[in-house]
Amino acid sequence: MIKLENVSFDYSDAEDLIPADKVINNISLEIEKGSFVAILGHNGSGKSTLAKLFNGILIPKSGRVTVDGMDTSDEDLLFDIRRRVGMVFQNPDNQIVATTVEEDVAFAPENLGVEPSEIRRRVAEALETVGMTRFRQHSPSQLSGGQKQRVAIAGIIAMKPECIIFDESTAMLDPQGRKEVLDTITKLRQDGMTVVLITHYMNEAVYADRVIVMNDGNVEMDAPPRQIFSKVERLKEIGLDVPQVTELIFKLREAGYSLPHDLVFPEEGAEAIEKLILEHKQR
Amino acid sequence: MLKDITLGQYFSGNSILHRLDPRIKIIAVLFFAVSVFIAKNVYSFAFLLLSVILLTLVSGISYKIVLKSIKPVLVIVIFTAVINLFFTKADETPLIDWLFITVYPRGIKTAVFMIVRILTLIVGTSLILTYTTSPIALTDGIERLLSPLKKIKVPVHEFAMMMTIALRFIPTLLEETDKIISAQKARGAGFDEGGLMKKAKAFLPILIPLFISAFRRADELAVAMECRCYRGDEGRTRMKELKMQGRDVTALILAVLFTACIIFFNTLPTTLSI
Amino acid sequence: MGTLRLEDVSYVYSPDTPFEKEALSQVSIEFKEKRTTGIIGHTGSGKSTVAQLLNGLLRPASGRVLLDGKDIFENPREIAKVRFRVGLVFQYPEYQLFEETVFRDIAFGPTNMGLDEEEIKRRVLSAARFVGLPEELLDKSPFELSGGQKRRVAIAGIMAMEPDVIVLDEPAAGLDPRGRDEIFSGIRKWREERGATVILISHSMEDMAMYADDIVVMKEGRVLISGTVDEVFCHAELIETSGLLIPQITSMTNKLSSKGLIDGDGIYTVDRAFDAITKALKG
Repeated sequence: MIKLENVSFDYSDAEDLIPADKVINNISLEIEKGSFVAILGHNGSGKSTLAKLFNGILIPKSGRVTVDGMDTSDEDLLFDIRRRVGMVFQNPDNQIVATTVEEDVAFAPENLGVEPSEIRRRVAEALETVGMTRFRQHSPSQLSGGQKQRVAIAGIIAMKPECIIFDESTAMLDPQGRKEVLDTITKLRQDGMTVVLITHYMNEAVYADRVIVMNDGNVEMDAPPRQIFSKVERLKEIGLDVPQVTELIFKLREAGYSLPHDLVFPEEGAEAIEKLILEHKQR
Repeated sequence: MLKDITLGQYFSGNSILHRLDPRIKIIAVLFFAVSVFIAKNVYSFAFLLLSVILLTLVSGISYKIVLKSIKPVLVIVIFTAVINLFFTKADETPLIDWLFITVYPRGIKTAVFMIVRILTLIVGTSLILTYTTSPIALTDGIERLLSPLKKIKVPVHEFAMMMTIALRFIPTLLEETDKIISAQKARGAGFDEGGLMKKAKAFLPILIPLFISAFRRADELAVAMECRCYRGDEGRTRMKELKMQGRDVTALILAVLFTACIIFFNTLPTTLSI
Repeated sequence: MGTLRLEDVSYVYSPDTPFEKEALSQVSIEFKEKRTTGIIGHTGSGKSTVAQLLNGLLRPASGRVLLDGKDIFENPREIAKVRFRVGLVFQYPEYQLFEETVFRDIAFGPTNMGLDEEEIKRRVLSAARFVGLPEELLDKSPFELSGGQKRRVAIAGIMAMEPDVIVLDEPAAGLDPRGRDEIFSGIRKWREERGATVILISHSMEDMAMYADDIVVMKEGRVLISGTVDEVFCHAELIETSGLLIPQITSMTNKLSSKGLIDGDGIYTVDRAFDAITKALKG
């Protein structure tokens, strides 16, 4: 549903003082409808820039980005593009507009001109999905980071998009908040939402169908998580953290023990090691 | 700490006052304020006092909170009362005439009436508007009351949006200011030494980061709003429609009647008037 | 020089208002000289309150904060001097930068101390070296730097005061793995060369396992457990009740050891897990 064709981007003529080396270098890729794609990379790898190209916040310098066939460089189409591709940002404070939770969730449907009764239904439904119904009358300043981020997600769900991009939405949260957001994403996936998750935490990417690893503005890897996670050394080289259990299995394999190379979940790893030890004991 | 400051604080609830249309409440407050200012004798002031007590009961807000709202204006109240008490001159025998202090009965009367006037004004408007109307409903009410001005190209919606965002970010920015002050204190910044120039300069380490942060927030918020399809007033609907209901009409009639009552009481003969 | 001790400290936010909240109750902690102590806890556990009590930004409602055995509030007018001896780096400290150049920003603290120019220069250069800021950046505006660089400038600003104790609240929040490692190793180098005491505040057990000597786990305004890293990690279940996530590797090895498959409880690094497993496999 989102298609990038030979897309390049740099900040050279932006007035902002963002270093010009944050670029996207001739990237072509497609985000399929209904898929769950994680985009990994260290800070400055271009992963957030890539995300901002997806819904026309940034417009490519060359090449083109289309959402359901609509070119993001056509300003008249931006409204339709953005209602299809929603985005949740990093700082939960800077994306909540209204002074109460329910008013904020209603913001997007109001902009879309939805009927008041339908808005109310959508708000109730969205708050239910993110588990914030109980807080609908609260002011955002009374909420924790994870709760605010869930409100922000509800605000996007209420827009009824086809795809939601999470632009490092967990980076500023504590472990509890991070878990809340990830659980919400899992729930959205069950409802068939297309999800693009931008992060630098490897262990958030395990549930994706596909992982794109960015490095210096290029796509370094693009494969299912099991294949990505087996490349422990390369991931470390480009400044990413490998989950501990993945690293342990890698080391054990290096030492000559026979373990599968494509384990991503800690439980799988634990089981495989347990089996290995038991086998050795029997011998 | 800074965040303890409350600005026109709203206490959520479900009383009839809470449920009234904000437009009606704004209009009612205008009637109320006018009534407070035209009240001039013991009957009308007693009526004011009584209505404020009634409003408190109806609002379901604890009288303690209501009394607390008086605290910030207490100094003004006392000051006004004292001025009236000692400086009102009249052609009558003073009650007290000691050294340079003279107090006339008229002074006492005026002082008491002024106290009632200020207190009922503060408590009444708080109860009708700020305590029982969420800031967003208030902004909404103002936007819609002023919407006829849109025809002559007054950006009413934009102002209302600005108000909403300001209300939303006041607590965030206050908290941030607290944090920056603490952080600079940890670096040995002093804020209360030296002359005026030095003091002003001492605030730069707070103001600059605060402004930069506010601009960054504004920038991010603008992008987030665009991502949620915001394009101003164009084609925008509202979740909470403001529909006049029976109770709103009743409230409006009551507000008018209220002022009428004050005018009526003002005409009653009494020596206790100003 | 540089032992800090909390003695039966309690702290209450907004006392005598409807929002009154007890943040700490009767907390006693000793921070040993020349060691790195991690204070860890869920959001709202009181860990950030402890940070602000340690340098006198907050004053205990009861109890005392002792620096080298002396109550820091013995002479409240001298509290500024305490702040020069106990440096506090707030969370997201890059938001406190304000000077025209990086050099002047780092020099803000030392200047407030009333040092002469020569000494200020020495300290700024030395602090910049510890956090790995190249000298050519010192004449730039701090606002031209990347997020990670700004963070380092802010930390250098506290280091340049050359305090005996440095307290850092989530110094790596929001950084990618590489940025995090660089910040933490800069702090470690600083402690080793200056013989100072370091206090790290965090909600990441994994970071603490890597960078702290001692750990204090806080829960609901009280100390739940404290001790060396090895001691604390032996209480994995208790730590989990405080809403913290124990490292993947710990929960995995604990499972294996509870089944009697490997030796060792409270393993928290990949290397130790590797050793324990290979030992079991060989034995």
